[in-house]
Amino acid sequence: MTSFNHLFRVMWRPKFRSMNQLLFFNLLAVVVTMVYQIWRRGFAQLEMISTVTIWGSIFGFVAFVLLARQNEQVVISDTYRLLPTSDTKLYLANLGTSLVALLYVGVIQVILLAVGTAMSGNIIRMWLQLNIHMSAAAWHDLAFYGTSAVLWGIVVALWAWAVITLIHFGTNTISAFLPNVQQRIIKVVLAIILTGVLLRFLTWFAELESKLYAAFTGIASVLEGGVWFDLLGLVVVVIVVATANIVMMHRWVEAKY
Amino acid sequence: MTEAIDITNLNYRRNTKQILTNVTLQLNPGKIVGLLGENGAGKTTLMRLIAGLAKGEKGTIAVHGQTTAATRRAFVSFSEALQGFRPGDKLSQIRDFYALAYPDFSAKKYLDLITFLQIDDDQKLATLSKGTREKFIIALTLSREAAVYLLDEPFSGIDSMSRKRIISSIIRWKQDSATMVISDHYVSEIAALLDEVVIIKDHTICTHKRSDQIRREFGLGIEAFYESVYEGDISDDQF
Amino acid sequence: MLFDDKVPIYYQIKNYLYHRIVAGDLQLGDKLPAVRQLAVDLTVNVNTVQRALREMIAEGYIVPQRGRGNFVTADAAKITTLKHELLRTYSQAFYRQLHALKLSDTEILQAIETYIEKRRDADD
Repeated sequence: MTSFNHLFRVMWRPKFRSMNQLLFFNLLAVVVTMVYQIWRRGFAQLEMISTVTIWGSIFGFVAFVLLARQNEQVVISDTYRLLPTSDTKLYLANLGTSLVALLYVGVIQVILLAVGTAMSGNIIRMWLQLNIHMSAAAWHDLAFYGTSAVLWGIVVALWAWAVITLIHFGTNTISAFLPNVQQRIIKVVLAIILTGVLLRFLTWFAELESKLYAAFTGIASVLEGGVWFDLLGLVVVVIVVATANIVMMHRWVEAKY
Repeated sequence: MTEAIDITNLNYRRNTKQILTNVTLQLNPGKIVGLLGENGAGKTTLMRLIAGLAKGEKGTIAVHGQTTAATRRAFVSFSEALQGFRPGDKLSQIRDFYALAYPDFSAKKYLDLITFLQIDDDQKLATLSKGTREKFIIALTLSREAAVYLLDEPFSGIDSMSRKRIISSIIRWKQDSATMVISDHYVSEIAALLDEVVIIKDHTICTHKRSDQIRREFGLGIEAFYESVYEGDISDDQF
Repeated sequence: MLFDDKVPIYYQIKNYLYHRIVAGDLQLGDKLPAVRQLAVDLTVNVNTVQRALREMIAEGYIVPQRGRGNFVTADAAKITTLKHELLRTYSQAFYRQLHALKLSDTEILQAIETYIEKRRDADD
């Protein structure tokens, strides 16, 4: 049997490669914008923060979409489905490598931001000088917003990927029990219906969660607790959806050939 | 002795169509078996079920005594079409994937095979001709030291030189204890290779015989036997 | 080597090796190629070669030596028997075919003599 470690590594390599290709274009975009700014306003007025942030969010989104596509290709290709390992491990390694790949793109953005700031970040340096004597409460707030933003980013990405697979697998599973006529149209219709059902379910779940939260605390406006509670709710959704995906993969969803 | 492949009462439906009905099949270790049948008869489906790629079957499939899809796969080397790789991937990268993913992958066997089959693994996947691609798939499949090899139509649409090389590499590199199933609808070139023949017709296995038995009892070549089975010249009660 | 698909392959392999032994390609006491090599040379299954060799060993034309491989028997009398055996088989087949054409024994003998003479002339 293939160990999880080896599984992770074989699934990581192609994703790492495509992320690097993407980052090459990201870097190119940043450099071109920088050169353009220097040409327009001169080096003294160069501001890299917005350049890196804007390109970073665009390429970050593209990375997210590319990884979502790769996720779906992996779970229905013979090459991966033949690996001597359980469906659970295969699914988790797939999701895990995508997450690490996305984090890798994120870390590169942070590095680009640091380099950009060091080069020319007048504004941020001024801001840091002003705020270096922040109060303990302010530091706490900064840490809180920072961590929760990263965690939310991770969980939302996992949630989105899991839901995409759920629609994909759900469509596959149901269409396998229907006659083999106009399968393509059937699949599109099924995907639309499933998406609708899923959206309704998620709205219902969100409402349920906020009611539960209100019932537990009595006051729904304590910010920090609310953020963690919502996060926990989303984690539960991710776990439920991922489990449903693994069950469908194990029992019905075949590789395409 | 555990059978290499032991299938009992296998039924498989998909898209409301019956694809395999009541398939029961035992194959012993060390045999080379021809899986013959028309296109769409269910040869590929049967192989995909054994490899755990097709889902939702009824009945049991055991490979080397293992009955779950995940554990079966550890003993099965299936000639897959390499669709999980990108056209720009180098063959050596695909080799690395196999070497890391399969504990039974033998780097030495791989090297011997690509040398014998005259494949340069510095090429990109997209640049391969159909024949070279098929040879490369065979090299990867045989590089694993598996108990069961499943070769799904390895000779379709490739030139006769490549075909001869592939046949020769099967003879050279199949371990004595390994069982090999080769599906095809064109038999004459591999007839001398087969220990046994399994014919699929009308969604089920209609006959499973030793090659020598066919030649002696019916006085027919494998291909002639296969054709007469399909044309109904040999009735079911003669099996 | 091309096989007749209607005849069991192991049987044809045996015949092929008998021919080589009688013709002297394989001498008394010669080592046979390894089983897998024979299989590769003849483009057949290893199991089939093994079956052919097993039968030849049982018949005494081939002698296995542990760890060293298979050898042609060193017994010259055995090979002579084999030669006679082959001669008898072919003569029988030949005779039957001509006999089926309603040729008399004398006619058959005459036909052979004429043929051999013609061949000799052609060779000169």
